[in-house]
Amino acid sequence: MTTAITAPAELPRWSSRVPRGQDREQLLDLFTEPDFYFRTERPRFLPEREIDEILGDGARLLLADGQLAGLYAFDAEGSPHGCHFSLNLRLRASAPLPWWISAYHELDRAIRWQREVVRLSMHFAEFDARGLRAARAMGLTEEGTLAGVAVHDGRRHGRVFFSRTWRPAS
Amino acid sequence: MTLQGYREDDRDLLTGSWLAGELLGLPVPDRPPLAEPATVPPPSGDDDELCVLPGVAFVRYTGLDWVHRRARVEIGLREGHEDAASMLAGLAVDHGLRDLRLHRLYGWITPAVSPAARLLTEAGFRREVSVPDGFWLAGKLVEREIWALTHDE
Repeated sequence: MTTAITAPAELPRWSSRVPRGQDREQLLDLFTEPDFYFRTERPRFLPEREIDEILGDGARLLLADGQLAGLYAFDAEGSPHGCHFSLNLRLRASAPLPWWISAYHELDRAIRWQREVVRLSMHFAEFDARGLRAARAMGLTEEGTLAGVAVHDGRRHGRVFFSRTWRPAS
Repeated sequence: MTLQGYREDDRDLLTGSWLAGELLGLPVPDRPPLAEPATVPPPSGDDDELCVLPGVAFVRYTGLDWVHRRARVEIGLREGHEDAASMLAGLAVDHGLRDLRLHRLYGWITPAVSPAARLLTEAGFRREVSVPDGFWLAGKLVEREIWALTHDE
């Protein structure tokens, strides 16, 4: 079942929660979108078991006015005291660019409310036009491209890295 | 009203918008909507005791030490039930001292966001220790306090 998102002009009220059994149909539907690149570069070909693995490791539902709008996950990078996290964020195809920007800023605010973050990074494949457009609109620092690490449509592509950094507390 | 033993149907009570580990956990004003909620695990052994006021709150006694008769207390109230905070603090003290026969109850308070000091004082707790820069909150380190109650036999 696809839930239509029909109000692009206004920013929604964001909320989130852990996936539950009742969400399964909607979650599987997200991965039918050809560019739903959440922890995968081949969403439409993932078997259900691999989708379960993707969702089982800290993924959260992102809800816009209570409706499923996408997924996100924060992952710690390196040693815990480094305060370096990466953010995987994916909104469904019908979500407009301002929603990406708004969701990113709310997630940024949320994680830094609860813990010290010195570096928050995101990365998107070179063929991920929506993801790259969103990252550049979020005001992140574009750091460079790790070449040749993803295969898509019969060709190798790079992954573009973005970040924000903050002065450490100590 | 009285506290009851935890049931699986009470699981939603264990996740909420209070601060993790807070002695009297109330919803925090201006909490970012996507901040990860605090959560406590269901009871799993002899080291903790979890009671609920169904639909309203949980009371958790953790780090239970049956030799020295002490426990750290956490209370988490669901949004919309803040008016029950005073009653919950009283129920938590009563159950800890009378039913569990504990001698010392203690826990964390974060003064920057917690209005609980008066309620805890009324319930018999007192502020024991200030821990400067003891907790990360809203982008900076803030003070945390240890509040405790000891039972005079």
